[in-house]
Amino acid sequence: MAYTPGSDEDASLLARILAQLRSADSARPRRIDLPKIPGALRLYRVTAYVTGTMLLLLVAEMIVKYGVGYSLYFGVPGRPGFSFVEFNPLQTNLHGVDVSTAILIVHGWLYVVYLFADFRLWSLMRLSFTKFIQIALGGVVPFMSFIVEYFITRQVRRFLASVRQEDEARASAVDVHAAGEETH
Amino acid sequence: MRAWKAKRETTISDVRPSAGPGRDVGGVTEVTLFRTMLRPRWIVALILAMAVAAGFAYLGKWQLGRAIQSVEPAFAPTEQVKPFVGEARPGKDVTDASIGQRVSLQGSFVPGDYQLVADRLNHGRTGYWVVGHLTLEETSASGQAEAVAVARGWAPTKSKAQAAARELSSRPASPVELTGRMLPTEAPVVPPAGSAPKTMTMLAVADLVNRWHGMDDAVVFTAYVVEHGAVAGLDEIYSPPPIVQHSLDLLNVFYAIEWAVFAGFALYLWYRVVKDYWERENGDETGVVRVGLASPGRPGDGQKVD
Repeated sequence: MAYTPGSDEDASLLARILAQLRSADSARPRRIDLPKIPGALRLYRVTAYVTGTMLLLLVAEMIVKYGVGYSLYFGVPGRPGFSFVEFNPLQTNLHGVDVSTAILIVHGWLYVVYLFADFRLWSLMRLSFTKFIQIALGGVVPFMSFIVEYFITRQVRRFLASVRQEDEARASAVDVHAAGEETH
Repeated sequence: MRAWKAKRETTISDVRPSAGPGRDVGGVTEVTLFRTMLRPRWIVALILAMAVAAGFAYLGKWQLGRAIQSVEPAFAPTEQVKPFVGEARPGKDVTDASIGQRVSLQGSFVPGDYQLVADRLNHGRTGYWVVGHLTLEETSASGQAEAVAVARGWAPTKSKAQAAARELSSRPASPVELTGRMLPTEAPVVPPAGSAPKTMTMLAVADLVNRWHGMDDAVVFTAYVVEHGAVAGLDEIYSPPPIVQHSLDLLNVFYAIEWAVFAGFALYLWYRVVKDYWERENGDETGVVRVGLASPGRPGDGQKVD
């Protein structure tokens, strides 16, 4: 089904959602917000990479903890640097820093920062709600945040490029019109 | 930009629930934001947003519960009944880990060795404990008898406590098995002024030893036991598991705050999405940039750029 952003009400819900996932052209930013969008995009990209990396670390840690049965510790007395300690859920008063738990906590908070970046980009661009959910879920599935980040960045840049192009086209049309008036 | 702002303020301040189905603005019927919110699809969306917010709030409550959680009685080591001898040793102090331990012990009560301890609270009421002298079945390593103080029950009045103590005292010594909670002895105190000179207000094993019979060749445990289970004529003494005080876990508190913020955010997102829809529906597109379509109200921009 051919879709144009303007014909929201005519398209089926599925077609609309698919179109919203595939492009950012249904964005309706206010002109005053346009200069803020590149910054918001940069924040989103940084947080996407950070969240994606932390999520992979978390997955590795889960495999080590529940698959192999070890926790990563730092500075356990008698063992310099990092060391793997047998994981025991009842024994939590070990000396040293529990790096595994630290990864868990830091990831949780960085995901909140990611959500904030998602919200900022979403509200400045005034994108569809589908887009907000798409970006939010991107940070939950391992490797997905990198993929989603690639497409979102491309979509936002294309949108901004289109805006610029249309503005230039309109400006030159006005110039031609003005020039035409002068010659008459 | 100023023009857009002015228009926006006007439309929002004009939102009146009593405005009827719509307002006539310059010949165009304008639906208020409130009217839009009342549409079934946005009501359904609001219910969904509230459900999500409620879910988040519940998660926040759960996190708060975890932040101040005490050890569950089911997991507390004190709730597994252990043999009394082994947890306590005669003449030795009770270790911290054993305080409040549920224990089982076998022996026989010495008839006539029942004492009252005054000023004992049970479910908020002041009354009397009836304390017995139990001789353990097994003897110490050196063959001496082993004595344990057992708080058998509580009575609200002195006469009731005395009656129960008399009744228990009259029973002949026979082997019994009981379970109870083990606690360290209290320190003896001078009885309050005006009360009988031999009144006990503390369960002090050191005091009891001097009142008991047959202690010449016996050793005594400094721990006493609060018996679980009703004894004739007495109320069971309320002795809950010891509270393991955990420090407030700030991490969980922060998570709880986070969930509260998320819950508020879910509702705000609903508002944002409705308002967005409403502005678009009302053609409130001043200052809005769109691409790839011929937008009405944007003169000179009829070309589709893609």
